[in-house]
Amino acid sequence: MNTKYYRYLLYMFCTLVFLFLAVPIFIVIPISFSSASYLQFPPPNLSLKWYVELSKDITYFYGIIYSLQVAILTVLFSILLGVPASFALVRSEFKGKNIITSFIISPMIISHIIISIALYKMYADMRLVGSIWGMTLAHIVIVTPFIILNTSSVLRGLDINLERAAQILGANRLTTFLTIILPLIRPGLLAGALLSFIISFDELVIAMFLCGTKRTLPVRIWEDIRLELTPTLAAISSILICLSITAFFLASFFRKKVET
Amino acid sequence: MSKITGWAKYIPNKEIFLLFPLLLFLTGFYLFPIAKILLSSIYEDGFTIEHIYRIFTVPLYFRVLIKTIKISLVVTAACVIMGYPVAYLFYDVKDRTRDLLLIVVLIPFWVSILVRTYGWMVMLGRTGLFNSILMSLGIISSPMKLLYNEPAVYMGMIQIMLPFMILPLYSVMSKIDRNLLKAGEILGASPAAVFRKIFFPLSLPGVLTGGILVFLLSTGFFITPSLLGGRKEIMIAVLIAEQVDVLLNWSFAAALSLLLLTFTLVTLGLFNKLFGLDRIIKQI
Repeated sequence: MNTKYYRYLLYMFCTLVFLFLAVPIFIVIPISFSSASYLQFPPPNLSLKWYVELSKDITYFYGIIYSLQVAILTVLFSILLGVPASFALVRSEFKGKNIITSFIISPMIISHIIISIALYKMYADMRLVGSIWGMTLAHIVIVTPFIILNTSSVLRGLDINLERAAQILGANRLTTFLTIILPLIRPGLLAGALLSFIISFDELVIAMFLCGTKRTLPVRIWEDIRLELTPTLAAISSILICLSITAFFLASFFRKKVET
Repeated sequence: MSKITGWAKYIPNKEIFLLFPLLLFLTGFYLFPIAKILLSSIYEDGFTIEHIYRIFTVPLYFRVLIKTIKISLVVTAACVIMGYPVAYLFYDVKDRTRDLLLIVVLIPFWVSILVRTYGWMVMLGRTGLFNSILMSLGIISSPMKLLYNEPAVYMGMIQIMLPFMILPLYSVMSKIDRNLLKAGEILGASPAAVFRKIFFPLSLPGVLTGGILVFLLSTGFFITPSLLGGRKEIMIAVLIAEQVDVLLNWSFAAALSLLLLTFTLVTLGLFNKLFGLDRIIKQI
């Protein structure tokens, strides 16, 4: 009797926590379809006018294109740097491995503001502020840990005998990697790539400092959010939420493939 | 196995070379720029602690430090209190139910912090959700000021940090052997005693890992405090941005960064000494 009572209490408490997690995210979707010209609850009428408004604002369009370019380049280069590195971390033992690993994943914990101003200062001398490469290089720093975490967890689950078999049959290391390992880790890698894409696409703090006059989408949103809370913001936020959720479900789909 | 020839035989594993491109890159675009800027805070034409000294002696700046630590501690405590029952629920329910509920915790991870903070502005704004509900219920007659204050910062930060608490906590809990709990029950312990004496002590490493993660991420947080807080809720990251962006005071921003980074590393080091962070890193 007593335990049952506690269980209901637990369910109730957790429901509240779940609402606390979900409501602030999904609240912006009904707002984005509002016909009111300012934030208003509940929306007086439904309309698509804020999406129309958004599509008319060319600066948002440029922001989306620029963010897409940066995110795609970031993901590609993080994979090129991160996958070999995870391979080394999983397959070899050496002195100071813990320190090296901590260093590589440290951008996940260290405040992005420190990375931002450090690179901003360096880029100012190198004339890299406002360049797509400057931005991409900075994003690679913060995204690679996620690629490594995803890849190493899959790599560790691989049967090393598969590689040995390939090598005994005469394949060299590169062929073994391309024909045996890569196909096996591909789903995990894709899941990591999706997360990295979203992180880069949504990144604000570093972009704010390094973008110069060429604004990424989050920087463009940031400018509006500080001035006025128009429902245009709700429209672009809703689009971003849908993008994130799509990426999330795609990534879970890939991860399931790894497990089976 | 193919015959190992040449100099390769002196090297136990050649894979280690695959680390070099990444390490080279991180040295150039991460380690070096950060080291350089941090150094500039204590060295300009000679060694100086003037900027560090300023942080601790100018009351305005010192208050920012205190505020940062206070907000981070409150957020961490709230995340433990809110996250623990949820992680326990995940342990308790059937696998299928858990997988569904996990989505609610994982999705926020994937949604932009900027968008989530905007969500809170929609909730707490003058014409936002809370004020509309309270007014239509007749509890208040004019909108309350819910934004740009400390509670707003707490709300936003707790919501963003909560998944960082729940996930490590659940990953530790999921390894707790259910037979231990059964053994306790069979030996006559009440459910409360089983929880208190067996389950809770075994889940503590998760509380510590999640707690330290939330605390450290909170101390360096920028977006949420700068959008939801007012002038009184400036945290150290916001102050650093302001010093660079508005005042072009690089040396002082660098000194603040040095302080923040040292604080992060010392906390991590201490945590490692006391509870062994290596276990987590070894899993990578």
